Amino acid sequence: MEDYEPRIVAMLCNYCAYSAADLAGVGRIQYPTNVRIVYYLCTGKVEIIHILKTFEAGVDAVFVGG
Amino acid sequence: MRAQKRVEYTKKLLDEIGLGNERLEFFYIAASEAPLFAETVRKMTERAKNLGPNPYRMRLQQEGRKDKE
Amino acid sequence: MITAERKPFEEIKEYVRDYKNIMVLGCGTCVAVCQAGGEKEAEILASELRLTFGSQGKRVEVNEETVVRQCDDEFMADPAFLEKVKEADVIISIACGVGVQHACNFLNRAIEGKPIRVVPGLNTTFMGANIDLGLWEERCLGCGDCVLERTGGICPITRCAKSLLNGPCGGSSGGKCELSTDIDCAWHLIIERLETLGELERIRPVEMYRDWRPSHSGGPRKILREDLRL
Repeated sequence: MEDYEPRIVAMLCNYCAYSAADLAGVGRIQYPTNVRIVYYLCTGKVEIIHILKTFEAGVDAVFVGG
Repeated sequence: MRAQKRVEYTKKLLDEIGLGNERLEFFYIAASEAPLFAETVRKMTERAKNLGPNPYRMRLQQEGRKDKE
Repeated sequence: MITAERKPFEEIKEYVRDYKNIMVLGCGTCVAVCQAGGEKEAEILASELRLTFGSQGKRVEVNEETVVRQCDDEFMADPAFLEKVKEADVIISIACGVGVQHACNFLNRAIEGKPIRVVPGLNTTFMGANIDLGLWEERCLGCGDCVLERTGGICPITRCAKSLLNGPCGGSSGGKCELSTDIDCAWHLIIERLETLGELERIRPVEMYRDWRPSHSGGPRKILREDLRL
């Protein structure tokens, strides 16, 4: 499992964590490239099925940021 | 908060499924907290590394290989 | 509305573990409103089954379908839907008990040459109202002879644990039932309501006895409306 690079999906709220991610980019703060961001207008719209389908697509971990 | 409660519920489903609830987490990250966002990504990456790959994907890949043979 | 709760996932898994092609069949009416067996819940259950069997290396196909109502023939008579049913080895019906039975009955009549297995994915709980977000409470037992006119719109048959027709009983204290402080004493509520209505006199005459034959005690019930039949 040496070559295992986890795939992570981040479900982010426009007004909180997405802005933080944006700011991290502007501020050139380094973070792992394993993460793929899904943009939500509000994390209140994150449905259970979105998370389950993400795992079905083969992602290793999901975090929701609000 | 609704998203957090929904995540808590989904964590239970992941336990039932057998993937384990650690693969899913909810974080509060305010718009100004860029370092916290980077830290969270690091934390989740580390966690995913420790947990190993998603067993569902591994099975799919194995099946895929078998099909080709 | 009829309310239901999902069965434990382990139990559902056990029902279908020997089958290769599984269909989760949602019902778009009562159980969709109480978020136990609608389209969303059908998707979730199907996804859960795919993930759990998939990660164990079991090759299964899990599909989901939702019909408007499983307790009516007409919503299941669609040929395209029946074609999909024919392909499944087992159907997990996430409707109430009525829906499960009717789907089983209808599908076995509609599809020739192949017996259709239907298993339940929910536990049907009661006829209730949506009191608050995420909260449902039992309000009707379907006793077949409504007394709400006399009791200020609060049902003693359902909401009194003893279904008393003359109450409250000696177990009522502080407006709560002796079973649990979570349960309101129905008769306490009735008396309060009648008081505000100025109709307390209504329950002065003692209700002597009641004919329970219109309830389930008379066996399974039927309604036959000749005017609606062809």
